Amino acid sequence: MVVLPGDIVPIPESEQTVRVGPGLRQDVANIVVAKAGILKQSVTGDRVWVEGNQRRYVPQLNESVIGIVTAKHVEGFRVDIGGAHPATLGALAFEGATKRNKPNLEIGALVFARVCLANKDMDPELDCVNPSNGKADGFGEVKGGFMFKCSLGLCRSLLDPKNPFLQHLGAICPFEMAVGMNGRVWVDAGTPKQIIVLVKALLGSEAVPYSKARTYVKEFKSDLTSVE
Amino acid sequence: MRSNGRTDEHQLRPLSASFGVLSRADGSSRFGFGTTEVLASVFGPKEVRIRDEKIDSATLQISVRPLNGLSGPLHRLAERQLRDLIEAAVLASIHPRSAIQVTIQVTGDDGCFMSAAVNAASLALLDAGVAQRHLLASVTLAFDPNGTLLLDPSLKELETAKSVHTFTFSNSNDAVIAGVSSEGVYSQDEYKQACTVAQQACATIHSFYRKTMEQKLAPQ
Repeated sequence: MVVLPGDIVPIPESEQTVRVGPGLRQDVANIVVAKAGILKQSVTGDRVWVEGNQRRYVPQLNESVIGIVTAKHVEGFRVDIGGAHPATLGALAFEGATKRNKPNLEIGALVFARVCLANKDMDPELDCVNPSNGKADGFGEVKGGFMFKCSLGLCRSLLDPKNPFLQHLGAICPFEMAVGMNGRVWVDAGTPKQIIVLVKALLGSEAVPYSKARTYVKEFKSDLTSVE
Repeated sequence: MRSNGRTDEHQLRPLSASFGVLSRADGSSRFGFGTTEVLASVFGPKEVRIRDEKIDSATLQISVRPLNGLSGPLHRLAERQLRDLIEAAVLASIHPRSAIQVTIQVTGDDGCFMSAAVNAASLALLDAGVAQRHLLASVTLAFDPNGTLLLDPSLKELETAKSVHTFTFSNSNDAVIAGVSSEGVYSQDEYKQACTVAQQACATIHSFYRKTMEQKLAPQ
């Protein structure tokens, strides 16, 4: 069901406490819509949210993002993650980093990081390490490849385990990808031509339903497999 | 017979609306009453200049660009009226120390550009995913020298109008006026009549918004 700001959503009947998700807010005894989108409800019925699409990123805790280093200072880096405020990335927030052994990121470097502090009144903070085991878990500087910007809705669909486009594309040409929830996607493949075709295919997949994924990906097959 | 081939005094010109018309803005829309067309873009929540920074809410930066020539006092007034309406609609407190920029470009003016600007701004904020309390719909009405009420008047009809009224209604509580500006000489009864017609016209515009959004999100 398509909802618009100001619409009142019926409170789901659930034995558990109902949790109100993105795009909705509580106004006295009502759940009111704040963003346009499609109203969704969890199978258990205790969670409701609005699935919309937007371009501007608002940092949320524990989301993985792709940032660009814009400044270096003693205690860390200033990183642009596409939000309203620049994020800080501590020099010690990397796997195995110590006071003597700090990572050396240049200005303009790309980092794949996790948002570890998101508060509307404070600048966001990032880390490139899993706090529970101190491992990198794939986070850190990303080298080579190509980063492109897209809508937040496309980022979410690229992270969907059921997304068929990635499986079909991967079957034709192996590639590496990092998806930030902030509307930035990094891809790397064997040749620059393959990267260009992949970016085009991924950006175009936003307008194609999952059921047509196979025929859609076929269009790119000759470009992805040709040697030059 | 009125302009645009309208037969009824209480008839709107054909409405048009589209989303995402600009590739680089966070949100954009085009809204038109017939040949009166307005393009709106929204950027934000984005970084804000220190001197505009508000500690507890987002700063709204609104600018209205005319069809041609330099913008003048008329556009400053339009910006002021838009700010009052948008400030009440946007949930600015959830994005403190940031800016939300709304730019209105008039692309065709055959009367009622202010109403078109309000509607376009509301749709552009919707497209940008800025959290809002409600949507806004605005219409302009005029009384001609014979005292006939004309909905959505053209420039020609506005030239001879006795009084002009711009009403804005929200979708959450359409019995309450979100904003009104009137000029000219009019009686209390005329005002009440204009208000009733405006309310119905705004309800039409709100259902038009819903139809447009449904086409965009679920095009079956």
